[in-house]
Amino acid sequence: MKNTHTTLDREPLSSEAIRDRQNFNYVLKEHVSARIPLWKSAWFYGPVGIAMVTMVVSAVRMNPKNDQYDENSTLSKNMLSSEPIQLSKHTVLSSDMSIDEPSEVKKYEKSSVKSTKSANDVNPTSNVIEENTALKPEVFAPEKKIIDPVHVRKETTKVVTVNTMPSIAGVFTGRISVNEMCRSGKIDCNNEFEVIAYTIQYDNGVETTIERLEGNSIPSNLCAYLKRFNVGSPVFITNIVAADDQGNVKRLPSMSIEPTF
Amino acid sequence: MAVNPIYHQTNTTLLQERDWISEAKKDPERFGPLYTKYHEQIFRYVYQRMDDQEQAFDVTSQVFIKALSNLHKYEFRGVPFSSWLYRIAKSELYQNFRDRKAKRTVNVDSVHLADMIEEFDEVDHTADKNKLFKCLGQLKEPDLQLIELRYFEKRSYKEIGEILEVTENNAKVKTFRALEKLKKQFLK
Repeated sequence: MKNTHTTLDREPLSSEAIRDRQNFNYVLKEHVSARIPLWKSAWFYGPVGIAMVTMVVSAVRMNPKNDQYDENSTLSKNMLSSEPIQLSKHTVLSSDMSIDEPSEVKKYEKSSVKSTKSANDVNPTSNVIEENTALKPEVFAPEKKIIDPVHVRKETTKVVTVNTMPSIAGVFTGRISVNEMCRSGKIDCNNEFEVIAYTIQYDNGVETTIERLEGNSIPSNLCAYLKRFNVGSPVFITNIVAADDQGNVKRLPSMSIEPTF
Repeated sequence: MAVNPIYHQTNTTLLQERDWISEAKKDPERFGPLYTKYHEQIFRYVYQRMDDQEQAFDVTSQVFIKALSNLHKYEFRGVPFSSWLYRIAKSELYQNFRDRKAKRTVNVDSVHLADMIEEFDEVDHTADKNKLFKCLGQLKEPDLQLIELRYFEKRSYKEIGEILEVTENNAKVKTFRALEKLKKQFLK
């Protein structure tokens, strides 16, 4: 079907009649009312939306609650500080153990690394608990918990905590006198574990070199390099592997030291 | 053939128009002179294709509202501002037909019909007026539009080209082909 309608000799409209119908104010008014306010336009929500998301993400990331664990972590604190850390000898503790409700168990798993004397609150599933008694014990002070005797099954388990932090002349991370370091001549661990291999990254005067060494000793030629070219610059000791008398192999935390005179 | 004198403008008037446009871009109230100048032209263009006079006035108002809203997109290219308004009017017209499900109207003047028959080199005008009138209604929209612009509204090929966004020569060729189609139907 044709969509056209044809008319012949329609009465023409005069210019005056058309001019009388001119209404610019109406056009202007409609134009103003049809204009979309800035805050309703998509252009507004693009940048504002991105800014809002950025702010929320920043706020979440800056929230100190999220860093609570990291702040409490002595290891991360120690890695950040350039002060040398004196390690004490390892401690062997025995304590009574108890199984608490699952939520509490989870909590103590987290704090077991920190706790030194969590007598009734230690998770018995881990037999060996690593800890450093010299590292801010007040931070790790266990909370006194009231345990419901109905829900708690008491057990007496012997727990052995072994300190496996490597150190050179008692320093795990931070500044260390190069003479003292060479005098010590080895990487210590504890009486049970002995370092059997490690990787050291140092400057040999030409370039930064990475060397894998066997045993726990610091060779004299390495000492010479450290004295000549690495004083004041960081030296990284990584991939430290230790073994005990029974042949159990353990990977130890990496060390970052700064030789000084 | 006499051509529509309103469309063609001197360089001075074109430059004045450009100034009005740049002022209107900053302040919509300065759009007034352009509205006054082109209201009648646009209305006649719309009314030529519509039955209802009130609807034609409404569509004309819509054309100017749309023009004012999109004025920031307009770029002066040395042609009258009306060519841009005609393009808006065309799209508003078709939108209106779609919305109202109305038929597009072709308003034909007897005098114009006689002119066309003259183009076909026919002698007996009166007998063929009705036939031509019917043939017009059978033309396709693009052809009908060209015939309408050229023979009923008496526009120059340059103006037709600017309204339809084609070159002057292309407008001439297309109009000629449309006329040939009409003639073919008419002489059948």
